[in-house]
Amino acid sequence: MNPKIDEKIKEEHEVKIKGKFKIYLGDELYTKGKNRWTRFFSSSLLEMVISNHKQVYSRPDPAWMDFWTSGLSYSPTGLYTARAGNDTSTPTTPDMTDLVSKIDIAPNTQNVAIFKEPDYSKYMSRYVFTWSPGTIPPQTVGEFGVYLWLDDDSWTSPAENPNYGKLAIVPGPEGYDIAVVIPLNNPSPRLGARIASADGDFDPINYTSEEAIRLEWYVTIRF
Amino acid sequence: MSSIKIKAKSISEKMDENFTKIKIGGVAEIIHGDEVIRCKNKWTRYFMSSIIVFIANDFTYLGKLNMRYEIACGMSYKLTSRIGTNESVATTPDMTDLVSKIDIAPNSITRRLIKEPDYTLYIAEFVFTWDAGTLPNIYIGGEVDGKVGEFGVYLWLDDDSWTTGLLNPARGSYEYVQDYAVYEIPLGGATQLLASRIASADGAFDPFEFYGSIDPLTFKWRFQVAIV
Repeated sequence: MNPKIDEKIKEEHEVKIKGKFKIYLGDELYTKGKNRWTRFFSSSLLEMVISNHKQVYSRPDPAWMDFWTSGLSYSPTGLYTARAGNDTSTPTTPDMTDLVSKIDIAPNTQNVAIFKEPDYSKYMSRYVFTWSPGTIPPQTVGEFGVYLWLDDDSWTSPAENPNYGKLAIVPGPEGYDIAVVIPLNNPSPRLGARIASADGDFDPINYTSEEAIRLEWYVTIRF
Repeated sequence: MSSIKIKAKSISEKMDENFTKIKIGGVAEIIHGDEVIRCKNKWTRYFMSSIIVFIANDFTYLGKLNMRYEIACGMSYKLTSRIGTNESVATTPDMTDLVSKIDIAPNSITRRLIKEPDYTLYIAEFVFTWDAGTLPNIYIGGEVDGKVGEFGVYLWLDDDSWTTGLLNPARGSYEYVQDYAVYEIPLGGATQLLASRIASADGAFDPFEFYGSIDPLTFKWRFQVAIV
């Protein structure tokens, strides 16, 4: 295909995906801005779009079985989650796999909701991650990461008629493992978006642990 | 390979905004005879809904069945394309189908996934080909009276039936087909729906006459994700 086609893309024909965040300390809005994306997020979207179908399980004879499927925000054991980190000097790049200096403490609560405009011109998901007071010890907080159940982007370009899929055995919500089908080959909790003081997204937080930290992350798709 | 053109910005703006946006572009190329038409698509709400649902979707229990095979489906499950003859109706996000569809499937479909080494551009390319003799002759007063005026790409998409404000979405659907096979996708009410339309009514291309009895038709569609 002629590369000049790319130049013909006009704003009105694009769909834009934007990631925005708000950080609250207690009830006070500390800062807001835009996140940076990783390649694992982009690749996972493309794999979902281009994949036809892939057999992920078979057995010699039929049997009665329960079955589940999942998107990128599998919740029971934190396959989607967020973390804070200490780094204040390393800018984000698309191939970043993790926070630079991660504080590996999960939020106390998290949820996600999806919204759409009545005229279908905008679709949005809103994630809310909250660390209660005292959960993260006092320290400098300079980065946040949102982790989704993303592919490892290990496919070789170009890939002809590719199909992606995995039957992942994961801990279920009731204490026993379940087999979840997802249209990605190697799903794992991976960094999908980073919010970093090193990118100028916010001033590092001198966190005293006395207030809750609430990270709100918005993914918006609009014409 | 080229990258999607973006507006010129100051260095400070670029530094401030580097990797903050993902642009999804849909571009197309129509090849018939010696003519190559390059144009842009418009999207439907089913495609946008499917993307946001896939991102935000939690796990969901789909059921219990007598099965031998479990199969993971992406949006290109039952991927296809159609042409149509409408020249006057502009595309809207809630459009479910082409306006005047000629319901004849392509003879071949090829999918290709490409990425830039620096991970800033990912491309899914789809090539649909109708061999000579497959489509009817389409011209004023012809076998089909009119011109080729629209193209559509159909994907396996969420039906967008969810209500705004849905908390912790857990959508999924499946097809149970012969030989105990279960086809699963993390989208709700998934079915074959119009994802993208390339329409002369939107100014994407000039309608053209087409002699399907003797000419092949190739339609390339590229779905591009650029981190900018």
